[in-house]
Amino acid sequence: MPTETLAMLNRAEMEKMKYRVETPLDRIFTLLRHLIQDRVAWAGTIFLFIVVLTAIFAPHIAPHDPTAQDVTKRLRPPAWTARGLPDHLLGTDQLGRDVLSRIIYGGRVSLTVGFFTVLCAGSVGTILGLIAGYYGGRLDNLIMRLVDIQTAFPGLLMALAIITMIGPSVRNIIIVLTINGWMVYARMIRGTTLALRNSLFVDAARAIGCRHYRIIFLHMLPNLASPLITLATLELARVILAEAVLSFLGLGIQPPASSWGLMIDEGHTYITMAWWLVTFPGIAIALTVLSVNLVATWLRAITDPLQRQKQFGPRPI
Amino acid sequence: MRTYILRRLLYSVAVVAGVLLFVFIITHMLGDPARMMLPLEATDEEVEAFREAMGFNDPLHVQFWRFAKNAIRGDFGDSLWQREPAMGLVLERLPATLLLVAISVFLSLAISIPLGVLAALKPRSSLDRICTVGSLSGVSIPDFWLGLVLILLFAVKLRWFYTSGYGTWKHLVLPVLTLAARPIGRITLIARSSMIDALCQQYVVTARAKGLKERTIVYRHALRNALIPIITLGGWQATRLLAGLTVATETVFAWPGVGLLAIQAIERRDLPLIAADVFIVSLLVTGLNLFLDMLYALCDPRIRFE
Repeated sequence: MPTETLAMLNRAEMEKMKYRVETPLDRIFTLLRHLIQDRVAWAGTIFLFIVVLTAIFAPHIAPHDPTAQDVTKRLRPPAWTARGLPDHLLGTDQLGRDVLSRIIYGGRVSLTVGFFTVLCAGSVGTILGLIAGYYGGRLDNLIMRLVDIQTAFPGLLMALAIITMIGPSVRNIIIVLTINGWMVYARMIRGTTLALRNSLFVDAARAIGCRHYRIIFLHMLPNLASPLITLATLELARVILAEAVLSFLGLGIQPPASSWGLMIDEGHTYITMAWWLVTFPGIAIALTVLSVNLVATWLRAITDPLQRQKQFGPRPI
Repeated sequence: MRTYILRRLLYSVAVVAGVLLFVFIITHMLGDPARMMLPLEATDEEVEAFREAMGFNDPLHVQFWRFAKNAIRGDFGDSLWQREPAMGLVLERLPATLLLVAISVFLSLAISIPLGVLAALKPRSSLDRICTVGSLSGVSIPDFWLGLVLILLFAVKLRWFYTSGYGTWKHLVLPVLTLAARPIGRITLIARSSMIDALCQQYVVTARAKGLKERTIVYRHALRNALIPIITLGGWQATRLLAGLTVATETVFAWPGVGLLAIQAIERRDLPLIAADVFIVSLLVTGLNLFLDMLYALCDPRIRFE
């Protein structure tokens, strides 16, 4: 609220204002209420919640050991079909391993890679974007040209080539996808920082003698939180898909570990006789990514009024 | 206009230089290229001799200079796998990929724009809801998996199309559908939102006030203005497809394009072929970007004077 207005308020109104101050808890409840009203986004949130929980508690939830082989039970279809086995709900693979358990464990890998890539790429991109936007000048030019050049690169092809050279592992996949994804954040953060740089509160912070890093990280960064969270959610969807593609092409997660993309890769040799090997991990990826996208769409609508208008359509003029 | 074109050209040259540096770092500095190219049982003496012969013992800047000079002349050395110049192998595969990408992008534009406009005209209707959730699903489905499911349904079960290969239009249907799913989703979402944007503008109010027909307002006034972001995204999708999204689809359908070639080169650790493939694809992407920039400048005078 601008200072002039505040000064005009009389004492009694000030007193009332005190009780109307929104606590962080209030804000969370308001958000939750909004979320429940949007049924589709709510469904996505609940599904994501289930996926995260099953990934964390995989050893307690998975019905079987995901690496336990049993040649006598090779390529059995899901339990509800004629040849299915009751204790292998989604069937077994070419080595007699339980498909459901492997999907549950595979979720761990997909989510870990997704989370850490978004964290790393987001941090690198945000810091560079803040520096570029705040300092401007030559530094800004340098960083933004780098962003432009890298955006024009064939990202996935580069990622494949780098992985070939440094070898596939969870850590290397995160590194490669970070190299591949930081520019998006840098560009967005720089744009918003440029707008914030000339705002009153930054001038005020400068006037009372705050150091640059304090202004950048304590004054500007909190104001960038909501677009950043939305972008990170959208990127999470992209990263989960990218990990799946890498694993499918044999350059991601390596056996005996399991990931959804790798399961599809291993299963697609048997596609004509065992449809379930390919179908279920794919559904897992698609539903997870769809849920992330639904949540991201909702987040964007809730944090950006212009987007909200697009989401729900124009008000009749 | 001239300075704009000149600046764009210079910028493209910078991109190509950056790509060259990146390809050099990947193929010469990450890992040991000699060990990578020789069979596992090669002795240390053989590796050392190979290194000397290929010039891997020279200082890095000498190597980079040689690499860049040869690359600009289109010489990446012979492919270890095919024993032919790597460049020729890549160029041979290029038309197949271009065909796939072009058809997919045009198909997705042809489907997405009408869908997006319809959804924008009746926001919050059930058609709009279906469009939005459908587009989000298209964006969320992993393309390689979609390809496998399509093969299972239409090639294995129904036997309408072929599982893989190249040649007739019947070979083309499933790969195009697979590749177009994501662009269709993306473009429909953007078409819808930019159309809603356009319908909120003042000139639409003016057009209504003049008593123009709703058809005229929608198609002549709003859609024309909404097309700019849509075409931008269409171009962007085309560059993304070229830039590697075709890799998985080509692998699934054994489509003989540059994406499949990249995977084959990677499987055989064929460094010259990997370098040539990545470089050619980057050149194409840069060229397409340049072309699109010129196109915007032609359509939208504001960009020229930026």
